[in-house]
Amino acid sequence: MATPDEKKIKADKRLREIMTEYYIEAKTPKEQTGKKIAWITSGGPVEPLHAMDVIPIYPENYGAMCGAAKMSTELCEKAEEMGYSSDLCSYARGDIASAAVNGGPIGGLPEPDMLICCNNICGTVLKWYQVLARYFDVPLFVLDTPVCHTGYEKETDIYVRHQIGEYVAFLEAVCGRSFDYDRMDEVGTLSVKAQKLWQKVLDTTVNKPAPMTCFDAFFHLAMIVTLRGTQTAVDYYELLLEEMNDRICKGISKVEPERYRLIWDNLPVWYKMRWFSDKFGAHNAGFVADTYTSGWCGTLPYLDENDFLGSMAESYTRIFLNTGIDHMADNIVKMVEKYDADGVVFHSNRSCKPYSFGQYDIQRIVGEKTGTPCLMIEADMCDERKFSETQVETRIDAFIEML
Amino acid sequence: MKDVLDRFEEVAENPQTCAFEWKKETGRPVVGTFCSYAPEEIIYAAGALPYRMLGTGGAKGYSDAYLQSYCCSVVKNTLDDLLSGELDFLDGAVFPHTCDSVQRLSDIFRLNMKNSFHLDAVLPAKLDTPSAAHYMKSVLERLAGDLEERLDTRVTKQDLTDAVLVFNRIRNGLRTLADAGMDNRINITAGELHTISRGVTAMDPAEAADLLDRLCTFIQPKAEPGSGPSKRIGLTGSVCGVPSVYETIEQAGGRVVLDDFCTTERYTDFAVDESADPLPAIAARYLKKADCPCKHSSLYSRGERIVEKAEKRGVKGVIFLLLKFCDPHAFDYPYIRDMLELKGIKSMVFELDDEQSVHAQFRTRCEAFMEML
Repeated sequence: MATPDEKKIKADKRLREIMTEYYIEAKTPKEQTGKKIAWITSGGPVEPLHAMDVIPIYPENYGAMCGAAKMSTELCEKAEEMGYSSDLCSYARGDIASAAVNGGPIGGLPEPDMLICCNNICGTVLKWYQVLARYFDVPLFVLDTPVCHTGYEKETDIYVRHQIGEYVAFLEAVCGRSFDYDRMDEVGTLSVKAQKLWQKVLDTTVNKPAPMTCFDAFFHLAMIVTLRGTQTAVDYYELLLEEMNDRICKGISKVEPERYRLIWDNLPVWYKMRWFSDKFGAHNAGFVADTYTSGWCGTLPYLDENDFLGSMAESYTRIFLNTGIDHMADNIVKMVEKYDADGVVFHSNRSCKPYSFGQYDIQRIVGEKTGTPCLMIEADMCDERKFSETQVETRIDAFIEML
Repeated sequence: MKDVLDRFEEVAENPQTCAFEWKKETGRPVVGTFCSYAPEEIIYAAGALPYRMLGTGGAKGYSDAYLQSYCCSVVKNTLDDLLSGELDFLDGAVFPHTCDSVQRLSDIFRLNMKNSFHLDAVLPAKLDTPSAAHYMKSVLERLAGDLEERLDTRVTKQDLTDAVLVFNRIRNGLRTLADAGMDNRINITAGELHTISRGVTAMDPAEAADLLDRLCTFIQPKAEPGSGPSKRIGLTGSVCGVPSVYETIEQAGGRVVLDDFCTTERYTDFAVDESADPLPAIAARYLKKADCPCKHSSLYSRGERIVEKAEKRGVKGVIFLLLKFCDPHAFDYPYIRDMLELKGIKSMVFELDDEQSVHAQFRTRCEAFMEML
């Protein structure tokens, strides 16, 4: 048995340092850094921002921070006072309120010079960023990525490619200088490198026992989302991968003994991460993979590292959330096989309709194709008022008995 | 006039039966559609009846095994209709891309429809750039080709032109009647206008156009004297599945003079250019018509339009009738409320869930709102 200290992932410390540095730079007055700030959606193309030396800020990442710090519910209530329905996405409510009152663990995000919204993750971000654009009165660029229900159509490719050109022109206009294509090539190479490393990190859990769980992945995800396209992210994931391989050699895992291997679907319940980890851990069940964190390396097959800009249209449009539910089900079926999972837990997330609606059909498909037991838990990623601990606990206990 | 109104009411109350009857009589296919961006002209040009699925309601419960409780009633009711077999008469369905819920409803339909085809028309969310305009046209061209294949027919330019003329007549008729009704130039209430607009969604378009033409002959050149000191009210939201709200507003002392739903004013807004090539002209209309909050054109376009219409029609108060769990409208509510307030127009928001909950609560809220105006 590994000691609690051995179980801890050492790279955590480095990640915290990098993220602190990142937020310190972002919150440093712009006159000192000389850099512009863009707020961007989690599925948005960040690489051109790095190529233009613009600091990308992710309200969704901050939403996760607020959720984990249990500060979201108060912000959500503030948004509701402003007139936003309590049924709206809790990231959006939290962010809209945070902008108005400088709330959350770091006292609000630095004000944006521009907003970049890509609707490949949902239509909610479009509405959310419209609210932000009215509030901050800064330019908004919308990258419209049509849903690929059954495939990627020719006209979609033409449309999104055209918009990549419009995105570059938008950045040139806001930044007041020409786009640096050479720098873009470097950033593109680094982005592909980081995504491949992230995939390798996630693949280490194929090992039995898995060296980490998805609750660790939810934490280490921060870098691939925010700093994808930088050397920092590449260096960090090399470090993390090395540590994971070392844990495999030493047989260190988070769940000991690892009796059940599970898969998580949807975003985490940020304010209950430890609770879920302990609850399942007590049954010797560990989450060895999830559909969420793999979303940031899932379109590698469509990326061309020698022509990153040219392949961005397809890779950003074909992310799994922007596909049909049968395709999403197949993704889970493959995961069950790859990670040799014993069960799938679906988080029915009141805040995320495109991720949650269709889960019943997905559950049926996964059950039919793999015979794996599935559990559906209703919660919300950030709004604690929508979580019933006793109800969820009972369902988890019943599910474990089925395994 | 009464026989015409009765016919619209008959279809509005039994849309499925009427569409099925039409199919039996004509031997032609019926294609289900969703939302006001569904290109009905193309479906009609392909020889089919475009049938707008709005969910007949009644909380059948079939959809509970497919969709969570936090899904809006229009989406759940429509899926209920499919799963209960009530939509078995459909030969196919066309889903234009609108909101996140409809995006997934489309997937669920595709996986659960029996013996009928399913098509997605993934229209752009952006409406304000030349590349989006080009894409819009491409999607409609693809849809026309797909429909030709599924319905084993040819859609000629003449078919499209003929369809455009019919739907322009329908929208023009609805618009003319609404304007006349609001000016007291015809004895039609807002509730009746709502029923007419519902009837249009499941009726042979040629019949609908003829009936609307007939109704328009009853329009007087001059306004009748007003029927009392009613307070002029605007309504806005996605769709309204509870026709009794009009009566409730009237009983509370209000009169609806702005009816901004996607089956009413947002549906009738803007005609397709009849002199242009029909398919690009249909695409062009979608870029210009009153936009749905799922679309992106300008940051203030919806608010500006509602304020302008409200001012023009002397609206004293606007009621936001928002469907529970309808995110796009809920996001727009605070800024449009603020824009109205700047012009001195009061507003209230009411969340529509199921039909049962509406009656008593809405009446009380409505009465309090009228007193405030």
